[in-house]
Amino acid sequence: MLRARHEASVVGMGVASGFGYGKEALLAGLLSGRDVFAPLLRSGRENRPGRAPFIGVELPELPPVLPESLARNADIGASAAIAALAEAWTEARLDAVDPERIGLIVGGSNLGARAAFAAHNAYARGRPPLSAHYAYRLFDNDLCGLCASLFPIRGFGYSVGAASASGAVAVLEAVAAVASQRVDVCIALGAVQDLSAIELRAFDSLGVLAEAEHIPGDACRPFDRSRRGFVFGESCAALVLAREGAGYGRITGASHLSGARGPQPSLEGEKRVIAKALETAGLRAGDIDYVNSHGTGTPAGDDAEAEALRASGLDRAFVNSSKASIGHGLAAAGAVELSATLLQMRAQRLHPTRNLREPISPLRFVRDEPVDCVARHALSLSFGFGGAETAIAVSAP
Amino acid sequence: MEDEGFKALIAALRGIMPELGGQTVSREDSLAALGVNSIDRAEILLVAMDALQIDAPISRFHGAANIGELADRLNAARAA
Repeated sequence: MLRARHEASVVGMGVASGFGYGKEALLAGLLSGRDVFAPLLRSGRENRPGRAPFIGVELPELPPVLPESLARNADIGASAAIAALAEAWTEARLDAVDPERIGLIVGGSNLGARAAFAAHNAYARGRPPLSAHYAYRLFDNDLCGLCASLFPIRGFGYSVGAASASGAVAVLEAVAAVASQRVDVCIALGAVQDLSAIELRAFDSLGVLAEAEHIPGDACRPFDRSRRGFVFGESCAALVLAREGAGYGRITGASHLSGARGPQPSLEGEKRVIAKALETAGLRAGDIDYVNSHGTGTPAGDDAEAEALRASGLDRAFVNSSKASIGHGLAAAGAVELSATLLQMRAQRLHPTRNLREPISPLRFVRDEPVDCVARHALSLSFGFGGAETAIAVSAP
Repeated sequence: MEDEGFKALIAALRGIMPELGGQTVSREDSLAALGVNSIDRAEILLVAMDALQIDAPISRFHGAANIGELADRLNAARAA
């Protein structure tokens, strides 16, 4: 019974990342180790005068996915969500499902910080006039409405916030929604966290943002002795969860626990969440072939995670960090990285961890080159400020 | 008196609804009939008020039957 609550299959998937649109682009990009980091150029992300530009990953130009009437008041997060959802929707053949039996859960909070920054500036200056559209765009569930305007989703739609674990929590809520039969399929959308210069600056002040380097792609170094912090990267993923079906694989165990407020990682919390995910999946640590780590590249975060993996007996499993390639998607990360986990399991090939030269731990990291691996069981980990700890166990079909 | 209110409304309308293309719009047309939703209607009024340097609550424009009436209210606010 404990187990059934945590079980569902991933039957559709759509992704947007720095490697482009579509899951094939994500898998190929991750396996290639290609560098997509660059100075951030979107309006509202300019650093203060005299400072080097912030660096990270911005989504490439998107083919128009929105009708003109909606596109006028949509940002990159909205376009990417619709592109990812369209990909997942088609693959899962959701046109054949009763719209009232389809739910949508958006992972992320304060998603439109860049739009908020623009609104604050317009308000302070008085011109151009503050847009009336901001009155509804300020709510994260605006994405639910946008998705339901273009796709017949009539079950329910809401957003969940768990900082950098939001995408993972959206998946877990979607699993619960189908396992409990509230709906027959549920879409979990890890949304673009559209940061402005203010949030980048705050992360910098907190000491968790990697400094810009001469070669932007060298700045993000998860699990390397020389790591200095995380690097932001826009991304987005839509996963379709259903009770039955082989699809990409089955979520067989999961855990979502909460801890104390604050940005400090919790070694105890991470160990507990890994243990509980394994227990609900009916697996032992030795059964796990692959771990897609949270692996942000912050000094304290990587230390705690490496120790949690070692202490949990996961030293036999391959470990990599997708953030080293696509940056930290914050709200989106958990959903994007679960997608990356399932894509690698299907390809039976694990991607390298960029910039990992001197590992901080003897864990079995995938380093410079991809490795062939038939992963029967894997774990995807996501942790977030506010004490959010998640672990998702997935098994190959 | 020049109908500045009407000119500002039409400029804002064409900027916010480029899909109108070359379609002629008169004082007798209503924004709703042209396919403008309530939020875009507010947006058009905000842009027109900005161009005319008027600072008035949007609620002052509720209930106008057509673009002509909106223009009249803009002109009145401008004269005030």
